[in-house]
Amino acid sequence: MFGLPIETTLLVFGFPLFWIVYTVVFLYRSRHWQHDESQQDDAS
Amino acid sequence: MSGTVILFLALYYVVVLGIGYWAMRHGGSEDLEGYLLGGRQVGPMATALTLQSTSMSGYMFLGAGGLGYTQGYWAMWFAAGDIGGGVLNLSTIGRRMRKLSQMFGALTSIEYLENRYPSPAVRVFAGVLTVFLLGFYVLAQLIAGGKGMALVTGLPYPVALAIAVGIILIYTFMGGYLAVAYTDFFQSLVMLVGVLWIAAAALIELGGLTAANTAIAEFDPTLLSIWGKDLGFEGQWGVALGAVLIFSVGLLGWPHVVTRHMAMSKPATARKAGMWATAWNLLFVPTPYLVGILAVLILPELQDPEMAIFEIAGLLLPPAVTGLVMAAIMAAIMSTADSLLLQTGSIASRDLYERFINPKASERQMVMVSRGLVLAIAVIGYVVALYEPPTVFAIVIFATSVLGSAFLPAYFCAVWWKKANTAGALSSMIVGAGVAFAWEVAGMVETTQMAPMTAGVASSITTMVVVSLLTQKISPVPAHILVVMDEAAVVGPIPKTLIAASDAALSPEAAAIDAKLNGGDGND
Amino acid sequence: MTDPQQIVVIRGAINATDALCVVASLTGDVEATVESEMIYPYYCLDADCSVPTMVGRKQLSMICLVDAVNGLGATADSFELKKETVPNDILLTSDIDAAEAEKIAHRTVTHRLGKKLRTISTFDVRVTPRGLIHKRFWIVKTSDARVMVDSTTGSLHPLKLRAA
Repeated sequence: MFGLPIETTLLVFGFPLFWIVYTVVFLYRSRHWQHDESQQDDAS
Repeated sequence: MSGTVILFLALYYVVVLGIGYWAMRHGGSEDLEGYLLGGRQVGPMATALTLQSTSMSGYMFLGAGGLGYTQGYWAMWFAAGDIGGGVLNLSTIGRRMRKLSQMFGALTSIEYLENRYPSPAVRVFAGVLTVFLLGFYVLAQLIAGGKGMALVTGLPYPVALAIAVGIILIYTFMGGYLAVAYTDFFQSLVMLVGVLWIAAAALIELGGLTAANTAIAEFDPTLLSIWGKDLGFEGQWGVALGAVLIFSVGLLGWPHVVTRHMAMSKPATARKAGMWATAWNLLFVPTPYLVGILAVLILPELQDPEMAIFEIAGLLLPPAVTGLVMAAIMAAIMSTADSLLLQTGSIASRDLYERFINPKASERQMVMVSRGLVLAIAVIGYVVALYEPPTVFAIVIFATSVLGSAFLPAYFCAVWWKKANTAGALSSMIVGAGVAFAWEVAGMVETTQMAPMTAGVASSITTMVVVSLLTQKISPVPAHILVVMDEAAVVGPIPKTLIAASDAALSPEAAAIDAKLNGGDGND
Repeated sequence: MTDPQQIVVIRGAINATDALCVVASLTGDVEATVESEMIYPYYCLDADCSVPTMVGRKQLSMICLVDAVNGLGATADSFELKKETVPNDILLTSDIDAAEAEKIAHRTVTHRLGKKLRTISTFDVRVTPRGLIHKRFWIVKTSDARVMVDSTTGSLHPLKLRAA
């Protein structure tokens, strides 16, 4: 793919795919974390 | 670089300063108060973006580009972990760390560690180690800033470096004047649009990704492999693992990452931040490495591989755009250095000076200590950057490896493992830092085919577990800490909606009211 | 049984019925009841500081509340106060004295300013104590939980469930 050897393709696309799935699973499992607040975040 | 570039660079700074000035002048005291009280804040999207760009700038533009240039697609091992670092930390530790730190009232990450693992030794070791290694990370930014400034202005490196250091010091001592905080998001946006533009320009120049890779295959096929140039890292899974770990879990060693978790007020914020972190990272983490790789074809005779991205920008972008993008990059580098210096100053003055040397220190004295240290780091950094500058990549990887190895088990177990005690934490920090440090210095990577990060994390985790279990009797975890950690300390189930809707900021009051309702005296 | 005390309480927008509604709508438990209330002490201090900006130093004021039970400091929005007489058994006692509270307030404000403005400066923080004030928390019981509701913000937090 894109002229890359197979292992490199796996490295370049495999990990991002893993993290996308991870994030989606995280978002699904934490769906109870929803709360209607007025976005007062203290992040510095 | 051409006059147009310098003109637009200067223009950019004028506009940014102008925005800051206008905001300061026309923003009433209520606006400033509102901002300071944290009332009106940018949302998780902007926060995630700003944090990503301002904490990685020197590494992103020099380190990553240089690695891509010299080692080809091997560099992507580092991107692999980095993409998920944000969501990984937020999903595993974020919420719980916030609650724990809230209960302790810890203002710094070092204080948080001592609160959870009570012992002056923890604070001293953690404080000193962090200050020492943050100094290294600052050095990386100084080198990046100096080299960038030299390239853009055409001034000799020592002069450009001095200017970069000077600007960084101005930022740090007078940030309020420059209203840095107001313009961070805007600058991040410019910088990141810039890096995408550079990547796009490089791809267009080479006729697309497939054509570029085909050309690289003819030039040097080993650059396309996952084992680096001349297959130098072939079979070295321990080194590859280290690369993946570094920017995924290794980031837990950085105070600004930890304090970010401490500041998340609502679970919903952590959730959204995780989502945005992945989105931004997907776009921006692999890009600098890719540009470095492509630069091999466009600029095959580069003297300093770490300047690959800057040189490509200068070559392929219209001069005005180059000026703007370079300006934003430089600003981000300065801003990163500024953040690091502020943290270093804060840890040195609060966690070390006030805690151990002068408990009755006035604010004025602490400011002097902070500023003194910042100045010292700037001067030492200047000298090192001038005479023996290591690569930005080497510095950042080294510092992150040692810090990550030292602190990963401590922070992770702080919220997840009730048996993690002071003895375990302290020894894991010492062993982790020591192993990672020695591994690097003694050149163990070649003989063991394992990265310092891998060895460091393995040894610190092992130490934490073994020592904690062996010393449960002589160094028990204090009861008040166990109570705080016990999120599920209820008889009967609590509806998930209730947990989700609860405000972590009320945890201290809840604990006191719990005690009063169930114990009768309202104390503890 | 318990001597009532006269204290100063923050005038909260959320009354018992409101608290009940908040919890009931979250849990869907129509059997929820307001079991009791707790009065929580805070030291209230005014903080004046000056902040360096490009247009000179700006004077700012803010309120700092220091949790009188565990010494945690935080900046706060303004609020109204009223005097009330409350029985001792719902009043939490302070563990922190006024002098400590002053130091904590000073530190909290300075730290916050430094972080937000990204500057190393003293900000000339001057702290003026205003005394002890209190906040009411409603304790709401549902069939499977006990929750406290902040009478000023409506925020809530679960409590341990024990047989009363």
